[in-house]
Amino acid sequence: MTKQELIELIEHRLHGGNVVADLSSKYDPRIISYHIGMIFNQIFYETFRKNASELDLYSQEYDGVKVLKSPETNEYYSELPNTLVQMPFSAGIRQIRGSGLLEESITFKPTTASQASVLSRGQLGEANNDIWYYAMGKNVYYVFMDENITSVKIVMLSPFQDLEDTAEIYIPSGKEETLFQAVINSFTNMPPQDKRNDNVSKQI
Amino acid sequence: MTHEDILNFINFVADKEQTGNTINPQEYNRIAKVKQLRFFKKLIGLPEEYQVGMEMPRIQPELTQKITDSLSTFKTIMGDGVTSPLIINTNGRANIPTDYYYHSSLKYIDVSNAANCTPQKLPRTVRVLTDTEFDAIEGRVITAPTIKYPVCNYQSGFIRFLPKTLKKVDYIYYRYPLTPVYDYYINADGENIYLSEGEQHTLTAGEEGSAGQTYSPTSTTTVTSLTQEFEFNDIDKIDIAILILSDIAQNLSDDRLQAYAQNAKNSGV
Repeated sequence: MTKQELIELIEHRLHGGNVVADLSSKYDPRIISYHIGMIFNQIFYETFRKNASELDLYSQEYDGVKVLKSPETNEYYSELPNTLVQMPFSAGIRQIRGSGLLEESITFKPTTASQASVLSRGQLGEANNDIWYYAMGKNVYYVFMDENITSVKIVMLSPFQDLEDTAEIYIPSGKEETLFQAVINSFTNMPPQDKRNDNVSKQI
Repeated sequence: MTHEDILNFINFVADKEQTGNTINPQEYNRIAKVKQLRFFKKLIGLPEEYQVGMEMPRIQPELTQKITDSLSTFKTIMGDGVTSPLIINTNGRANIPTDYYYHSSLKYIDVSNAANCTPQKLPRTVRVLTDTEFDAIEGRVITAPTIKYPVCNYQSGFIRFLPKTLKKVDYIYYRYPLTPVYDYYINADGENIYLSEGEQHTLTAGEEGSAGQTYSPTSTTTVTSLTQEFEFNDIDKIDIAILILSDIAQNLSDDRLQAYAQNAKNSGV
């Protein structure tokens, strides 16, 4: 199922089967998308707690992400190609690897910002080719980065609302009805629309 | 069913004068114009039937196939690959057509390159917003107007669009009905003879056109019909005839005719 198909499925229910039941902004597909995204994030977190490896299926791959170097701090970093779903220990990033064939032998390992500062002062980098990374804000930072690596592939969990309409969506097993009902419920409990054009949100 | 049939029916039911002529063509034209508009208003939706919290009339466009068929004559399509679309200027404004009466739909065709480098055309519905909604939505973050989610707002004589770069949209609206006209000529016996749409008649001795044209023995005088029939189907024309009868009953202070017309309006047959 694609992102667009999932939104249309929920729209169909909310509109009572009509293609366009409400021309107002009540059921804007973008709002539906955000609601789905919030439910997905909950499901992702539950999945992370049970078996984090299952999150791989729901990830998106972004190739050719440029590796940049900060002139102020000399830190290597990449701008994340999409918003990252927040997870403990940078688990929202499922994998980073070099884009070239030779670079694929190099292992990228997750760490945290505080651990990274300790790592960078030690001699671990001389012992192997491992590169450590941690996500902070809109960037992912690298420790012991090979200066020959100019771009990387990033496999990461992206929020539902930021995906392309044609992106394939995988709903974790057994969570289909939970997702569907949770999104429907979030709309059915909305207060009725104020149809008076008077700039007043509620009549007294 | 022509104006002649309708007027004959009206005169028969009203039966006010022994000649059978309750109203003449001039009076019929005056009343037909108003009654057609009132019938049109009924099909588009009577605001008088709105209730608090439910701004919906019992009859409205496309509520049933019957109503859709009754109004189909008045639907005007701009664009859709057949006619000229509604052009939007660089200020994001488009002029409302002069014969516009009621909105039906606005569609923007979003053209982009598909994965195989062929043009991909995706229709996007243009949402109609109130003044306040239109002013507020531009600053929204999630629901801001985009090419994929365009919006518009009706103003006096023009429509505002966001984003302003749409350039053109396909537009379907209901136009005003054409004014009905019963045209005729007067024969040598003083009778009004109906002229159907587009019909031409050469006047003979003693005959006269509806606009005062007269027969001339030295030249040929031909009158061309100005008749414009009701643009509704025959079933709807009967409903308009009943509406006309209702006004005639009022004019004649005829209670029995008023009751007949009211009963016909209520029962629909």
